[in-house]
Amino acid sequence: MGAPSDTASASGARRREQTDLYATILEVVKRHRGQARITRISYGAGMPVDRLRVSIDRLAALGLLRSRTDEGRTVYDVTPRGQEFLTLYWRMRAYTEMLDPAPVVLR
Amino acid sequence: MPDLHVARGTRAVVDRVEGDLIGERNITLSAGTTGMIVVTGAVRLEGDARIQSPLECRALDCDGGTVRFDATLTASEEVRAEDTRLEVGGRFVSRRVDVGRSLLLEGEAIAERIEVGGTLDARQGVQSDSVQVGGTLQVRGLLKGRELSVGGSAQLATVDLEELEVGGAVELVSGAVRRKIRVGGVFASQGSLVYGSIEVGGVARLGGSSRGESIEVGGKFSCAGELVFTRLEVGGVADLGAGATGADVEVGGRIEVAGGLTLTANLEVGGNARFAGDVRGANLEVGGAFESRTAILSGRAEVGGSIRTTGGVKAHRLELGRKAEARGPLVGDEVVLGRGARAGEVFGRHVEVGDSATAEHVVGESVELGDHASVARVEYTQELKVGRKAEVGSPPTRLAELPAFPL
Repeated sequence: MGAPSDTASASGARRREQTDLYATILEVVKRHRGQARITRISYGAGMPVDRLRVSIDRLAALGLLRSRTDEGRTVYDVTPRGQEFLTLYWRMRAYTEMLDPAPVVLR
Repeated sequence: MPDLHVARGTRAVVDRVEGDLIGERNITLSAGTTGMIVVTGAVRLEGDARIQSPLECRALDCDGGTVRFDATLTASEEVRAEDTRLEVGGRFVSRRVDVGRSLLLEGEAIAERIEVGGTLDARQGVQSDSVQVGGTLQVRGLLKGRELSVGGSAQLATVDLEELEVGGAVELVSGAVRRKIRVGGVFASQGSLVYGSIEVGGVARLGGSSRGESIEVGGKFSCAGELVFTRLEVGGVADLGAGATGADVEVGGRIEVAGGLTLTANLEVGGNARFAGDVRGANLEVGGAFESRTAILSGRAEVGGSIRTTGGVKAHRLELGRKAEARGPLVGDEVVLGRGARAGEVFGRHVEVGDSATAEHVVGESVELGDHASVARVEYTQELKVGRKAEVGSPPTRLAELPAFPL
């Protein structure tokens, strides 16, 4: 198990799932403490802005992210529900690893 | 020289600018006779640029492209580089650093605050009060500061931090994180670690001796060296390669310890608990099997599965679960064998052998055998109660006083 954005091991055992992408985005947004702009999230998550927007919209629709305008620019923050998703995501990843142990790969 | 404007694609030689330096795209700057470029104001770069000599300025503002400083960069106030890859070949000093895309630091770096949207790669040491990276971080020298926050993953050498927070995975060589470590996925340390608290959602692997306070891991936890803690809480599996000392341990799954475990409070394990050495503590509650050389608890010991010890288990109250099996002596003020349990030698002030339970040898002040219980030999000093169809192999012996118990 590594960073959510880089979960495939050398053997290719685990494919990057949509939930991994969502977790990656939320973790990057969290770092910016309510000031995450789309370009910063794009660099942090390693995703092009156009693809990222689709995921951001979905996360916001699900109540995992919220946006606001700050000095004319849209900035994002993780909601308590988003934080709950992250906690459960990592916990579930850990259980999956325990049941099906694969080499732990760090990016 | 007042403000200087360097046109697109120009190669300019500059020693000193009394004001700002504005560079269009694709410029190359180098110093003249002084060997250093000094700009009293800000350096504003509109795209790709290469600066071949050491540069000192009040502020650096980059707007896209790749900007490379071959030598040192000192910006007394701030560096802002939105949508930019910034590379610094020499020593880098500034107060506030904010880079959008990526930052490559080939020399040591000193700043109050460093913020990078994408990737920060530091080939030498970094000293900064606060380092915040959206994507990935690599620091090959000492990372010294107050707080580090990374969204993706981090690979670190030696650290001297107060707080470390990583969303994905972090691997470090050794050092100290004095207050808290919070990691979503994987935390791994290779050498010795001093920590305040460790909170990891997934997997935590401590490679060397580690000393600190609370550890909370959602999945797997392992420590190859000696471990000192106050509270260890693991959702899944805990593997300790050496001895451990602390207050409380709570493991949802199983725990394996290559040495002993000394606690001042409780050991609570949902599954199996196996120790190569001795266990000391206040209370013990194990849902599955328990195995150790010896175990001495000042309070209660409750094991749902089997107990296997070479030297025995001693507790104030010791309870063996229904149909559980014990190998090695059981010693307590009060010892209770659950229905259908099987034990060898049992020593207690009060011993209760449950219905259909069996034991080889029971010694106690008062002994109570449940219905259908079977004990090969019973020795008591005050009272013996025998249930329906309970069996005692040889006639019970009433002693004048209790013999010395093991442990």
